[in-house]
Amino acid sequence: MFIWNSCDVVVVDVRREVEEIVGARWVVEGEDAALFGFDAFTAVKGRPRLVALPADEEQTVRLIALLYRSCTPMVFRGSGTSLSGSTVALTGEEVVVSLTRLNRVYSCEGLEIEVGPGLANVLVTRHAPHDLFYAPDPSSYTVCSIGGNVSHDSGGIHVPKYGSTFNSVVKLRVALCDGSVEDVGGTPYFNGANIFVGSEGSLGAVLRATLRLHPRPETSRTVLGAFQDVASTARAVSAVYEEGVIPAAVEMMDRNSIDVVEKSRYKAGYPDCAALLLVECDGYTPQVEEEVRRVRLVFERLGGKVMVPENPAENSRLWLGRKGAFPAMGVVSPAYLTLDSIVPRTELASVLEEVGRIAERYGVMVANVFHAADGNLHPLIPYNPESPKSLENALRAGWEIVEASMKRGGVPSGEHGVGIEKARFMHQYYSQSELEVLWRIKRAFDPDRLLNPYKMLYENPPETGDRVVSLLYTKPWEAE
Amino acid sequence: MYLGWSPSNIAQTVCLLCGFLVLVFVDWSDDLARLVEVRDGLNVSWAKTEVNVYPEDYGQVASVLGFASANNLSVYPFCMGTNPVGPTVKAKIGLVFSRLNSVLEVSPENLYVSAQSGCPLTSLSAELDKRGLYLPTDYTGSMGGWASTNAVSAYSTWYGMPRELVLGAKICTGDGVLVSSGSKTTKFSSGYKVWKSLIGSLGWLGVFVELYCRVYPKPEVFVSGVGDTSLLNTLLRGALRPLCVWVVFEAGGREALGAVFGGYASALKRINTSLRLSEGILKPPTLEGNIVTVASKKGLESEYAKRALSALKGDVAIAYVGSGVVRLSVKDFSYVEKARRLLGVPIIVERGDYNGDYWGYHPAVLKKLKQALDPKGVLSPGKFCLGHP
Repeated sequence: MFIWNSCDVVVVDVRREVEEIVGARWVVEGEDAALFGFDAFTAVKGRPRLVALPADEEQTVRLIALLYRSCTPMVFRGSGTSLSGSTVALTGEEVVVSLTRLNRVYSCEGLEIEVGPGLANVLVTRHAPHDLFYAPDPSSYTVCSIGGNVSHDSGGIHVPKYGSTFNSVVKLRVALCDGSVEDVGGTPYFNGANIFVGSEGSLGAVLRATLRLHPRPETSRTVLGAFQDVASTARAVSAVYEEGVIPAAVEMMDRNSIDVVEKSRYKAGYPDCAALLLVECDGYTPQVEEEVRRVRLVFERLGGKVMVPENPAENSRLWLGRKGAFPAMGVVSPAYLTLDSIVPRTELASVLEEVGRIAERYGVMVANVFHAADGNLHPLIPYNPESPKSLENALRAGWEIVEASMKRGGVPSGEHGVGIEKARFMHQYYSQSELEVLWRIKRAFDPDRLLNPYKMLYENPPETGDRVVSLLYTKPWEAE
Repeated sequence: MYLGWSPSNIAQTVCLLCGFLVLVFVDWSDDLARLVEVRDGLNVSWAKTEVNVYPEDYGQVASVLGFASANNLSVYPFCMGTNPVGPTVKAKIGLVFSRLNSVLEVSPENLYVSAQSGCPLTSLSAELDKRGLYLPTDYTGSMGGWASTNAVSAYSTWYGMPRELVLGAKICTGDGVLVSSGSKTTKFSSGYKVWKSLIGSLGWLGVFVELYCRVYPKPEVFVSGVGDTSLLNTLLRGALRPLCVWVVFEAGGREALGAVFGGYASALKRINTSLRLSEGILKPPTLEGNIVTVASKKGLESEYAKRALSALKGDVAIAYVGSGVVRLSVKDFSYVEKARRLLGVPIIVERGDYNGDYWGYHPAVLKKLKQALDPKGVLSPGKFCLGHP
């Protein structure tokens, strides 16, 4: 296929050149490429023109340079677990550059481990010394890739104590659109790695990441609090901190999400309640013992029933129920939307009430299971994938929830990224002059806007002919 | 007589030239004075400015930078000047943040504080203390200075540095655009982390006007310990989880380890260690004179401190364990280039007069950020090189 384009007068047979770089066996197209056309944001399915799977950094860099020179849009992809559609090839023109083969562990020294972007999150700890672990643990940690985690600034349940992926990124090796490679970060001054974390592959590709490891805690204890009203549950979150506790994790589940889990293979034996909190305290044993004592007192003071697992199996079961809450939605519907907005902790009760009202108005079920300590909501909205009306209904309900969060001082996305799913909110969350500064950064790194186009920032909506895509890119104040 | 010029002709020409220069000088300074209060400039070892301006609100900051950018006038942003880093900056305009000095909001329930960039950390700490909170740092200076220098402290062992603690900020670009970046929440995945890029960039990419920082409940008690450096690995990777660990190495071979623990009194009473413990917060020594920063691998700060002390022929090295930072006082910088080759990690001339490359690294990524955030390059000229000098 020959390409004439306005970016470059050189005529390039893209497919042939891609094959020359990665080898014909590692180029996927046609029906076989369909799997690479979508990710965990199931509302939109794209179709890549080609999928290329480079073996190493050198092939990746040559591929990026070729694609950029030939004015070919590209999408970097790891395991395809993005919940915001960040790795979807929207227009059918994009070449998907899959980095799954860059999955080596290069070194481990001190508290640092150096890995390729294709390595699954779960394997980082497996390759760390036995007394250290890698802290960021998104729910998809068994499959999601480090490159994807860096690109989305993924979080997980242990952010309250250990921070998000950003806090764990020490250095990056990045490939820029002109084919140059830069090692950035690892310095207290002028840290060039910071801008790439959470940039969703729109500024360059992560070729390698040096990550920070933490010492394993001596002790880890869980306290479950079951409450008869959401307000008390939300209040308990702040109250735990007021006792001087710095929990490793604080997760909240409402009645809908508990019901779903209890009907699924992740059944945990949760008590019947309006909402529950799962708190994990870890660290030095005497400190943890005191923290657990205080958490129990907080729960009891606010009318919660306290459960403390008596053995590791029970502990695992309680946490598996939480981690399985997303896939457990399969008992309700084969498809669901996962939102990701954040509010200050003090707004939790208020926003959850609002979520309830929105759910009623749209006639949808919303299951709330989320990272309460961070105020990071994950309303799960099931829909019928065979019914465009059902999807649209779910989307609209979701948009109102995001708006309700922003009105309460929150942000559209805490850890899933903007992608396609929240692109419309960028025009609402930022002013025009702020957006222009973001565009200046984008243009400095990607002057021809070929890196992951239409994700996070867009000037005009993509022309796909897909009604859902068209809806997703309609700015909130525009008529549809 | 020389070339037909009489003394009176020469005198007239000189006067005309001076008058012209005065006119040019007075011209932009006058225009600037319509935007903001202008006073005499600065002439100290770390910065020289022709005039200083004192904005009282963010709009004035934006106006000054917009004006400077439009007229190609260099700007050096600063506040208290307690911790200068890098080469001396010569600029037309010193942008002083001393009047943007308020603590705006303390939220014990959400564990963040919001303060203007000129707010002294002592004031902030006092406000936090009233509410049983603290910002884990021992930096002395302003909020903006703390963030712009990404100042390491003993607390960085556990809590990290401003890079990890600043949740969001209002910033101003070099051409005067005010931008809200990040938020007051602990997670943010809603656009480029512009504010994070400014942390540690010494006012070269943009300026902070307001910052939102994560704060912590103040531990019930602090207990400090000193002891042998052989305890380092146990402290760093063991059960106790100290908030601070540092090691001091002296040129004569003396070494000392310090650690600080924070938590409940009932828990800390049970600490079992051969450190000599006492209640309170022990701090590492303050370095004076010429200072070099070594960016070591995290967890290996002690090893790099010893190697750097030898390679740089330094006097004292402090390893801020777990932070990836070692700082040394040195007599001079004669061995910096050799040490860079020997150690293979970034070695930065933090403070002092040096004729060479203060940084030793020049990623193109910084050039792109500079293009985007300070297109006319007015901010802190010469602070960071874009190419090898």
